[in-house]
Amino acid sequence: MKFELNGASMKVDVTEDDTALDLLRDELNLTGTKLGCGGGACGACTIRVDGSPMCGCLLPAGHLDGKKVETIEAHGRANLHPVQMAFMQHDGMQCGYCTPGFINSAIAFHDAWREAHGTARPSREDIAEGLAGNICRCGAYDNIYKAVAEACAGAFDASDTADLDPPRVDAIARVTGEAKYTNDKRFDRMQHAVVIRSIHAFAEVVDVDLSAARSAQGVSAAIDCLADKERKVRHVGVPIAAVAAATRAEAEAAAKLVKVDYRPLNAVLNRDYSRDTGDGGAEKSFRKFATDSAVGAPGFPGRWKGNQRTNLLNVFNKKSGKARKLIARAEAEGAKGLYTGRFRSGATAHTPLEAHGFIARWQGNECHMEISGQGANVWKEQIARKRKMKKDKLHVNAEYVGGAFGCKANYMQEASIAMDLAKEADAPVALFFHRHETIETGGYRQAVDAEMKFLVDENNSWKAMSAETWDYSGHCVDSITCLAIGSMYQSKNMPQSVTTHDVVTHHPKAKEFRGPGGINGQFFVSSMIDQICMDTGADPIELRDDWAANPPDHAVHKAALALPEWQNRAAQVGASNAPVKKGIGFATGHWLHLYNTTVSVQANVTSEGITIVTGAQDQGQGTRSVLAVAVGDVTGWKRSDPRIRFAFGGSTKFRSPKSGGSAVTATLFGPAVNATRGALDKAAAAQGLKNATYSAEGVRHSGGVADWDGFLGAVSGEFSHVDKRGYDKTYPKPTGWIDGDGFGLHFGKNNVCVGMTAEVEVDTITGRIKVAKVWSKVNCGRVFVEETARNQVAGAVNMGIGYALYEDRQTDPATGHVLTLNFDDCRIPTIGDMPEVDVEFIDDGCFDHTKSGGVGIGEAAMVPVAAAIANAVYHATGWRPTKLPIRPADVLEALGRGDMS
Amino acid sequence: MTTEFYTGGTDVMDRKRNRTLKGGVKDRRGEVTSGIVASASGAEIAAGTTVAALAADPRIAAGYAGLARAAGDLATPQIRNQATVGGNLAQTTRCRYFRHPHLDCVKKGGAACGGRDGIDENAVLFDLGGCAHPHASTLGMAFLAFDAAVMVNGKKKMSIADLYGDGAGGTRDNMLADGELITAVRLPAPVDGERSAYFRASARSLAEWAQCEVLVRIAAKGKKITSAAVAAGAVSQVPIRLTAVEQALIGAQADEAGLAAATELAVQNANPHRQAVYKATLLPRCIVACGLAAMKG
Repeated sequence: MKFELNGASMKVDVTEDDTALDLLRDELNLTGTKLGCGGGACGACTIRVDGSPMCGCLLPAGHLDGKKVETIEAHGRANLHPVQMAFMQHDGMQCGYCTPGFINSAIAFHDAWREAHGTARPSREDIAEGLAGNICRCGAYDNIYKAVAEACAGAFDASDTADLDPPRVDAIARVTGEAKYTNDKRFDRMQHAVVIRSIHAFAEVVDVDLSAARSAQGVSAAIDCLADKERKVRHVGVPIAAVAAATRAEAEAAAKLVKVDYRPLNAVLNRDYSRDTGDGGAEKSFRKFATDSAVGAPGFPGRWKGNQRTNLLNVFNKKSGKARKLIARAEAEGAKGLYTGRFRSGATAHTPLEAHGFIARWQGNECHMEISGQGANVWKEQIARKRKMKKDKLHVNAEYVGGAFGCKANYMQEASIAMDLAKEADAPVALFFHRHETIETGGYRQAVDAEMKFLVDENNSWKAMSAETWDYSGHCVDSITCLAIGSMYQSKNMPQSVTTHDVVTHHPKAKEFRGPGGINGQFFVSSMIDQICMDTGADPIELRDDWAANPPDHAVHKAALALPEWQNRAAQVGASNAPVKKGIGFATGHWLHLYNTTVSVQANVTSEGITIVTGAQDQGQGTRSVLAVAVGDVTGWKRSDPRIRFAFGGSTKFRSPKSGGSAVTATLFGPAVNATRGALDKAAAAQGLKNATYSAEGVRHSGGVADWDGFLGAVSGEFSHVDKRGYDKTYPKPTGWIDGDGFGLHFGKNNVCVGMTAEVEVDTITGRIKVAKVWSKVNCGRVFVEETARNQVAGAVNMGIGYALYEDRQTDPATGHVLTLNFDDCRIPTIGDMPEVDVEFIDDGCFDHTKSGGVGIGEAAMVPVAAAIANAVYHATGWRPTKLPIRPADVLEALGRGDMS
Repeated sequence: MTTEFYTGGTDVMDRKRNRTLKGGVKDRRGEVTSGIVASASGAEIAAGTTVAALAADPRIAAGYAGLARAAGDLATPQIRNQATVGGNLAQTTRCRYFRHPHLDCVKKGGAACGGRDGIDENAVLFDLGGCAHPHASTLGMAFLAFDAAVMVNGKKKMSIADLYGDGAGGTRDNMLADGELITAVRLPAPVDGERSAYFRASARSLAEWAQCEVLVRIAAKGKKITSAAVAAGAVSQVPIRLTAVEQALIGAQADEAGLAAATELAVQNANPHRQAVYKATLLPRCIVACGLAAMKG
């Protein structure tokens, strides 16, 4: 077959089984074109064929015959398209995994638009239609709109890379496809692994026969990987065996030859039944086997009954006995001021665009791992612990990670499987998850049922709250919905009793997912507060402000109250008779201000500049940019200064944090400042400079001033400094400790607060709810890089919209198999579902006590989203949603019942 | 086991990767041509024409506006650039039980429909038995509204209604015999003065399988409707025409009230699957919205 590829003519042999994506990535090693879902639903593999965007994953390779094909590699650093420059300048990305596909769609859109409309500016609707086939799980859509509109309007026609000041310091690697993610890595003789997973929710594995697979073509290793001593599987998707072969196709073929003999057992799959009865059925030992934590950290002591585990302690409970007593009395008396509600929130899959992936390579007794994970050191320590290996024999690396949101934070058995296969194969082994596997076993936010009770007096003063939740985290425990709810309004004078029951079933395990417990918890709490206000005529923001025990809340509430759209909202709920009803709603989101105390950052000074070394990760939060600002705080350099370099994502001898939980910025900034200064001091001392201080002008010392070129030019060799403790002795003691990994994760004074106001349109024809506009007021102290921080907040809004309106991870009730196995069923928001997001950062000094002055926002920004949308739907229609997601079917059923005005 | 074949590959390549293809597959892209020929007697669309080309064709937009819109609203820009008209008509069901490697499904030769007793929020409003998932083809619904026919293997003519049959048994996606390939679609000329529109309801705004889709053709003289065709998709195992609504529309007032009155008949024979009750509220609303859009032109 002959075709033109990025301007060069190509002649290749292809088979009928090859897709264009296989050809590009595996044969031609052009890994800028990404594998996202393999089903044409995400657009990560978008290439241009005769100028038209197409999905490489569904395109038979032979169909490229005679065509002109362009991939992202057509536009390298030296040859950037205006669309790429616009994406860089407007930060139209986070993790970057979807970026090459987005850029290809955007270039096709841009070129067609310019031809038809010149430099007229396309509307958001125009852009949404053109880019509807690309999904960004991080939710950078708001910036993508801006980037595409600006590029179409000609703003980057005459630009050069040197004119740009991209907020994300590694933007160029992401827009050119240069950034190598784990599943882009290739090693000599690399074998491909396929895992044979349980197809039963509960079964005894009687026999695993690997013999036929072992002798199949290309097979280099075949292993049994049942970890359970009784050889039982307790949910679908449990690894039973694995094979490795020279090609993915050979491994697939060999996997089919593995014979697994099951003895199926009666599985617990009905969540309502198991909640109401606690009946564990044939499983007599949930307590013994359901030990993994749904949030990757040990929770509190619990009491088991059947398949339910109830937490016995909640640090945030205040006068819980009194709360329960007051509410019981109010219920008995039918007291006014008692509000009750039952709610249900659905399960949602993390499903990052880059599926989980592991590559293991042994050199003697040392193993080198490429892991798409949230922190190389965390993975290194966890693997070492699981395998009883010495930590210094393990080396973990991932320079770029394509999204995670919590599902890549902790050890997975597949890491070990890749290591075992690599040992047997005596070759590097890549274990890349299929999209189905990532959705099935790669993690999800648990579904939760909640029973809420609020008691207020005639002035709406808080008398008591009780909350009881039933969490469906599959075959694991320690959901922390009770903690998240309990931490929202915590004051001695506000009695509350919050309890969570883990309803353990034979479903795959939930994992921590951005703002665990808070997203659903805020929906429950906020719906109740909203109802109290609607019934009593109180302003929902003012009531929250009266109740707020967290100082940062007040400035947020003040800003939200001042919003003209809030002030001018319709006085009546469900006031409109139009087919599209508009409403506005508000909710507050909190997240603990978290940080690690046992981690370090290293800085190296050479004649080339300053390199920051950390084993943390940047899955798209913009951590590199934040640390560039830390270097700039010492040196006076701009964050985009090419002298600021990074050695990121490789495991280090010193400890580095897990990149998650909104702890990274607060954890790393201070140590990065100290390490930079320390390394510069050593370099200055070597030049004999005394009393050196640093600023944009250069290095001032007792003998005068050396400009930076002169100072760095005189540096010979490398001067390193490892800062062991960012939180120095002046830092106040942490108020609590919630870590299970020994990484010293603490929480400090004051919670991050984000107030979100949402304007919705409820279409009574289709039942569709559109979020029209969002305002987020964020109180997180110092904002290090405003653009990437804003992108984080907007991304959280996008993810929250998916959670509120579309996403629902469904399982077959009879078998426990996951039904929503790809993006079209997971219903991740597309660009057309993204509203304009107006972000205001507020710094009223509430975080001045932290060393860096600023704390994380990724979780807090997502916490209020579903709640604000649900409250807005109530305002629009007079119908209060009690289930998430709020589907068109729910709206239509409410209309059918006459629940909606 | 029969051999499946493809021209665009957007359905088959997905199932190939997901290990849910049972029999063999064959690429027959070379056997179909692309292009649209329009004449006074109608239009002939070669089966290899992409959905994007159909959506962008000015002659289709002029005579069959609802069809052009239907083609432009389905799937994503990338898929529309790859998928062919013939392939869209002959595509297999999008039911998740069908596409899951380990779940039972009558269309995979299983004994029972997993979705019928399981979870399928996009189930049928007019339940013909068997598989409980609606037909996936948007273009099938649109062509049905325009009384189109397909050419099979270049010579056999089959009406769209016959292509899908009556859905009896609920185990097939179409009535093509083994090896039969759609090679063209023939559209009769539109009715004089008629206007048409397409309306699609889904949870997300774009790039989603329809929960209900409607194509309405209307011609009016003065304030009275003189001819009407109403087809609905995503509501039954086959695309359907709502003949009772069509009959009630003829002679009705060409306004919202006239539309609403006739539309009450849309769900009189509905027997919704337990998870599709909402579609009984949805379908009439979609028809009114679509009819209004058609009248506005």
